[in-house]
Amino acid sequence: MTLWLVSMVLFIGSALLGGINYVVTVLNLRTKGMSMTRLPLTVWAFTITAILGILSFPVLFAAALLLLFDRSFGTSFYLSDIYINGAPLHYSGGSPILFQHLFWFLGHPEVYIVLLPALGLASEIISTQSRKPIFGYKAMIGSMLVIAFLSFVVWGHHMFITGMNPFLGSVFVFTTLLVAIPSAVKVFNYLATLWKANIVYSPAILFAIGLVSFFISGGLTGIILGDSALDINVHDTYFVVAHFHIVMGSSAIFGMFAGIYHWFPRMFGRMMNRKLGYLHFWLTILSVYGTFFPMHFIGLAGVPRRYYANTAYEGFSGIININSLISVFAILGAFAQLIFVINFFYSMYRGKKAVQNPWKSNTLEWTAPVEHVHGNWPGEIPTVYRWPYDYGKPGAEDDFIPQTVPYSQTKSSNLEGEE
Amino acid sequence: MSDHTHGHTGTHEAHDHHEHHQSFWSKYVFSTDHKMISKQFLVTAIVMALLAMFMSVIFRLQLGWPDHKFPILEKFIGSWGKGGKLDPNFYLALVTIHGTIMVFFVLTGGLSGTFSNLLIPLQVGARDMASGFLNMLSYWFFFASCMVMTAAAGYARLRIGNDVVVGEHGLVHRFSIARRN
Repeated sequence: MTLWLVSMVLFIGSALLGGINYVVTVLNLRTKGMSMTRLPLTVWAFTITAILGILSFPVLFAAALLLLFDRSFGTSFYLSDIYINGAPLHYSGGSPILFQHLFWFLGHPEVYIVLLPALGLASEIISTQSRKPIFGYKAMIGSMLVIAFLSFVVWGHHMFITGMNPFLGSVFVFTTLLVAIPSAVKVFNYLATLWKANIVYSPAILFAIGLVSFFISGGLTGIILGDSALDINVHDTYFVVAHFHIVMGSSAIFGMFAGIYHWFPRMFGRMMNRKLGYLHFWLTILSVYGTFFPMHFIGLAGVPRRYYANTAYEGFSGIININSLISVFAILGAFAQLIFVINFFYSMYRGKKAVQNPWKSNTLEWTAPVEHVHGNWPGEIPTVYRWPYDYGKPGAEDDFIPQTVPYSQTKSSNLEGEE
Repeated sequence: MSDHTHGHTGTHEAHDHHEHHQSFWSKYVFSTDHKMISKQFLVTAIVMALLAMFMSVIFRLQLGWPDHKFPILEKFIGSWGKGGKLDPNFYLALVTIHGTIMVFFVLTGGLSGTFSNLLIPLQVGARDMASGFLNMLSYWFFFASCMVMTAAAGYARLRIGNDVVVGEHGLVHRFSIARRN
């Protein structure tokens, strides 16, 4: 526990150093022509994530540091009462509720710190591989900003039954359910981008579509859990485990996989093996749903989480087979990840050499040489003339127009006002 | 933080003629290049993810077959799996560390660290991060916290739930009072 706290203090130091760097870089070091509305959605997502981290991580930093003091140096920050009947209390112990408030004030923004970069990567990959502009670019930015704002006022929905005032609970229900609106906007935009697209399949877009799938199926149970009246029935059961593993764990890790498959050539100058990527995807999505979908049902049946074994109660004897099935899928999923690890390290050294722009993408990173150089571009930094999503533009010669191509060279495809 | 080599535009001859030979340490370990730092984050995150995944396999074995003994456990986790049975306290430590590693070290540090570092300078058209030194420091804080967390996993007295703190002395008791109210 003390080590856990020390580790978190160090980790938060890392997150803050990184976050402030990301925000400053995006605000100050954009190249000529790269206005904020020409930034790829990935960069928007990373920036909003960094701002969320900078605002919320210090709270956990304080919470961890104070708890460390309480445990190791004899302070009493977490005692809600110092004296009872005139007698001072022993300084050990403390109210977990005080820690919980501090923890979840970070804890909820943390969900979006995890999710937003994954959504940003998915936006970029879905647009590129669908060969279509992202649907609702500004709505995507707006919904991310709204999600970021709302994430600071919903932490109480993790604490409905801690003894918090029920009236406060209903306020948190309201703010929590509001999150469904920007989330639905994002899902709608992903589906509209994919709609009737000539999708160029790659492991990256499969993982990105998998993310959207988890975002929907996990988000639906979020509506149930966000409502305090419904939450009481399933609080601290496997229903909650299923919900957050799907909507936060799996969708974020799918976003990460999508990003790795997509930007691997940019990182290492080689391609990952495509067939192993497909195998990895199908085994992973099968085992994720196989693991977490049945958990909804055993959660509704009342099986509590955090129990070492559920053998003590006669009523739970019926779920033991389901638990074995879940374990089988979990172990299958673990083995599937070994495919990824083998593919990753093998391709790093032996993969097929990558070309400069393997996905025919518009964004700037693919204009830099395959071999990494200091300062990213050997000569001048490229200038940007357009937004990053000119895919499949009617009248254009090719189905993509990189950001570095000025409008004067694409007269045939320019829309009104573009010159 | 106006590092003169990282300006907006300009010709940057310094970069073209500056391919100095780097030692292993300055290239792979104490690098201030955002592309190398992103690789460091990614590889560290993959290692941590494998560790957390291995933990989940151990406790899923327990949950799926609570009456069964797995002698092989003793090979991996020693006295915490005496006779092929997972120690109940170690079970709590495992789920806690699994969650912490996955959420903070893989999906926060790993995801943001890898892709923000790789893509922000490359996609906005910058030479590097605003401060390469802080960026390097960020990775090393991350690495140190990974090491401490891994050590914590081996420390069986560690018990913290996702939203509940349970300590050795009075906290369990106080916690149960709070829940009843």
